[in-house]
Amino acid sequence: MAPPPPELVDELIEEIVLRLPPDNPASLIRAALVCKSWCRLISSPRFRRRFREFHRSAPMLGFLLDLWDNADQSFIARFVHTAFSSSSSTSFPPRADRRGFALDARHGRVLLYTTHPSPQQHAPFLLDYCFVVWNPITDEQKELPVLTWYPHSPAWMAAVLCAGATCDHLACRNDEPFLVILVSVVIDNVFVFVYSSETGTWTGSTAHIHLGPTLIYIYYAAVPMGPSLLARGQLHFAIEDGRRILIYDIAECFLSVITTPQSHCVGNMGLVTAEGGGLGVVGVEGYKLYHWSQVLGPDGDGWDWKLEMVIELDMMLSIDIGVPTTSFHVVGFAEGWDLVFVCGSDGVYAAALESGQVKKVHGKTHFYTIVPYMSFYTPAAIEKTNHHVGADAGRRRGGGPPPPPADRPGEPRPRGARLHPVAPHRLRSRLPPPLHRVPPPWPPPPHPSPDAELPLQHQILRRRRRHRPLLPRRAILPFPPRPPRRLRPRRAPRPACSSSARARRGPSPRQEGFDPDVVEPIDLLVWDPVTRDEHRLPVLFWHARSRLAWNAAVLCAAAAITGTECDHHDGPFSVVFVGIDDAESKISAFTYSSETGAWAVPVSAYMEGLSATLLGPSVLAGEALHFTIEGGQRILAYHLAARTIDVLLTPNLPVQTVSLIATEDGRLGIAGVMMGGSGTRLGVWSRHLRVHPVYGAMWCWEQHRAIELGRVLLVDPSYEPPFFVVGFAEGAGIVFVGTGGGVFTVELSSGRVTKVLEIGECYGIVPYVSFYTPRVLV
Amino acid sequence: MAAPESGDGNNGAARMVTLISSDNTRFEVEAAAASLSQTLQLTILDGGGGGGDGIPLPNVDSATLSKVLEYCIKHAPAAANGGAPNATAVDRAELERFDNEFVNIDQSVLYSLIMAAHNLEIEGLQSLVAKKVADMIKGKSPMEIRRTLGFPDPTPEEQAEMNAHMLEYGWAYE
Repeated sequence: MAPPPPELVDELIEEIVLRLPPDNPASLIRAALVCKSWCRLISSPRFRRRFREFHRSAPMLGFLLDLWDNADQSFIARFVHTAFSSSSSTSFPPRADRRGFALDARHGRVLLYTTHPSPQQHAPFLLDYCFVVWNPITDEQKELPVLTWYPHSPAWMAAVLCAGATCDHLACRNDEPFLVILVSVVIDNVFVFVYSSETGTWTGSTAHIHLGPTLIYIYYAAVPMGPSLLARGQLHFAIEDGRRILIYDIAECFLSVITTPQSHCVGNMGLVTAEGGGLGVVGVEGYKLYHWSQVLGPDGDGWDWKLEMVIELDMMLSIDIGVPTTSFHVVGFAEGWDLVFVCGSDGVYAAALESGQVKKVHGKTHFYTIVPYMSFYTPAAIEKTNHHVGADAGRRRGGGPPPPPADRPGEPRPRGARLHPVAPHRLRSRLPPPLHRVPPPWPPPPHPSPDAELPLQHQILRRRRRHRPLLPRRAILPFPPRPPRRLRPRRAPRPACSSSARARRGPSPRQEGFDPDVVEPIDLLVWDPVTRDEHRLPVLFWHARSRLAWNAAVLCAAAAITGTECDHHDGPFSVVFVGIDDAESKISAFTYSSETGAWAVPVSAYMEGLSATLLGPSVLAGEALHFTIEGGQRILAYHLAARTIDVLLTPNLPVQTVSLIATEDGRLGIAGVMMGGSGTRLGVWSRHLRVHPVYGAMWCWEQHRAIELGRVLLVDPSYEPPFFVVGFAEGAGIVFVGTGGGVFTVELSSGRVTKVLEIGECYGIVPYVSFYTPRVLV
Repeated sequence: MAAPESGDGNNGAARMVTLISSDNTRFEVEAAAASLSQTLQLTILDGGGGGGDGIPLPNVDSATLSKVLEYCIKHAPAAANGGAPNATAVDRAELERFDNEFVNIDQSVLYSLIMAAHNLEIEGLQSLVAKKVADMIKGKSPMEIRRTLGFPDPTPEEQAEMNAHMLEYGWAYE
């Protein structure tokens, strides 16, 4: 038994406790609970100040993930605490998920965007922006006054920062003033709004610039821009997926725009702090993370981009690089910590720019952005419950934040006070009208009695929803005659609507020194032949060079989320647009939701050797939408729930063309016409997971059925080969076979063949499967 | 106990000082090494400690003092370079390795060491030992920290208070 060690003096205890890891608040809490004197020491303001000074930069206590809550049909922001030090036992007070979308976190505060609890009826094209500033440490929040402004079309973003003149921003107190800066791109103009917690009001800035042609729709359609970055006293916002950067000088109220390095074709670019506090960008291409920083040009005038380093992600991660569609996106950056968050197909990774080290920080990929949270958590709160605290701390009991020190009476106004206030109505009148009415990017919270209180317009909108039920097929056209419509136009004609015309207005991209991909507006219309309802989707811009290599599918929203069947008629619907851009070896999937009225952030996958060929008609099997690509050589699968893209090889089958079907038990299948000595048959194969004795579990294609066609098809010699499968009615199990002389249906279950059309040539059959009951006409 | 032999005799130019521990053991070291202690530095600058006088250190026993001087001798050359700005990476790595092994000692020695470093105002040593102790207590519960540091068991009142805190800060106990 060792003799009891000498009692340590308080100064030494302080030296020891000072060296506890700052990114693990629990270790400080536990130390504070050792005994009264330790508690007194640790919760003293003096120690807390020393702790911050000793560790200099605020530790990353966690990050916020923006997630979609299926149950509530709303966005939630989840605080994920994390410790990057060796101490594995991470702890932070548990914090409930916040309703809303975390946009930014800086100086100890988190900026959340929420929907208005009671939506107001506004003039068309105006929307209520509701912001909440939340402090995860004290779990206190402040709601900002509602800002009424144009919908987020095409892009907007907001940032929060401390405006305390004497604050060191290491652990900003709640009573320090703060600013919220909103940057909104309306068509090709950028506008800035600033909220100051001291005045408690929003002011509009007259600082605005013209962007010229924008490409924002290509990747981020009607969603906020990327997270902001504070560097050199300027807020930076990445727009157009990081191809350009908006810079707002907070002190000068000055807006400018720069382009990012164009030398690499990367998926998106994120903003980072470069060495010395400057501006840098990172982008991922394949498995390489490129890091550029902004340096002065060779002549000392103007800025230039310099490639600083390349981090090989696959060298660091135990990721399955065998999956060709694995792709990474830059989703966040921890200011002051030089950590870049990269989202892969199987989780979130943090890459340290200084060391090049990569670490997996979260397993979930189903989220939108990462907002790192840096602050000090020092257990001042213990003072509230401890009865043996010193006199100084005792004055601060009562639950609220500590009062401001008395020595800062004449604190200057926060930066940004030089804004020129403009009355909102004047601003409105000066602006061009927005492109189109875009509802909030997520559905409002459940309303007690929606129909009773919603404005009439909303009631009408609720009825105009169309779905694509997976019900037994009744007939193809059992409806009152309708004028012909394009249900899913393969190629949209140049639309006459003003939105696309506006977006393409202005000088040509090359004149601006900006070399974007040439875009083509895609104008989609969802039409319900039963109710005659039409729903025109917001215009989606797509690469003109891949103008044929896309297809879209419409489906019930419940199916889009879970892949399951739905049987209600007037529910919300989703449209999935999938396109191939062979120049970037990229497949992108965009999802439109009728509830949000907007295209969500697309998901992309990279794959070498893609060719921009036609996408075949879609088939929903399992939880994925499938399209044939490259003339049936491969199958593109978009998993609705996981929002991932896979590419499968089609098996070598004795058929002329490959068409996708879904089997009765929901598996993906292939149908094709087999011609041969044994006559003309329709072959059906389905995909099964089998356990191979050597290779383990693997997907196999097994022949499911062979239906004799020859007897029927060859009755009339005009029905000449070749025969093609031209369509498939999901849920009904009916395959459409086209011949030179007409179109036949083949029921897979019974093998019955019926002639349905005399038309010799058709480009595609899109079966319409629904019940026609009077209910839907109400 | 014999004085550390480093620098003894083969460098006549180096000024030597004598330190006397609480149990009257005499240690002769280079003034540069002893000057890592802010307390001793003043005495040495005043010309003390030379010849047969010696500097008495009534708060430090010989075992601790020999350990302290081991640290000082190792770190003196780097400190002489003004915080070792031009030290090579090899030198720094060597010092780091030495530091890691140096604090890998019995707990009671560690406490004597940090007390001595505190009394003698040897900043680097105090920081080194404090970091070591912090590493020892991080991740431990309050009771484990008490046991690690050899605190007496809490009184029933203290125990009740700790239990109350455990309820409130349950997340910190994981």
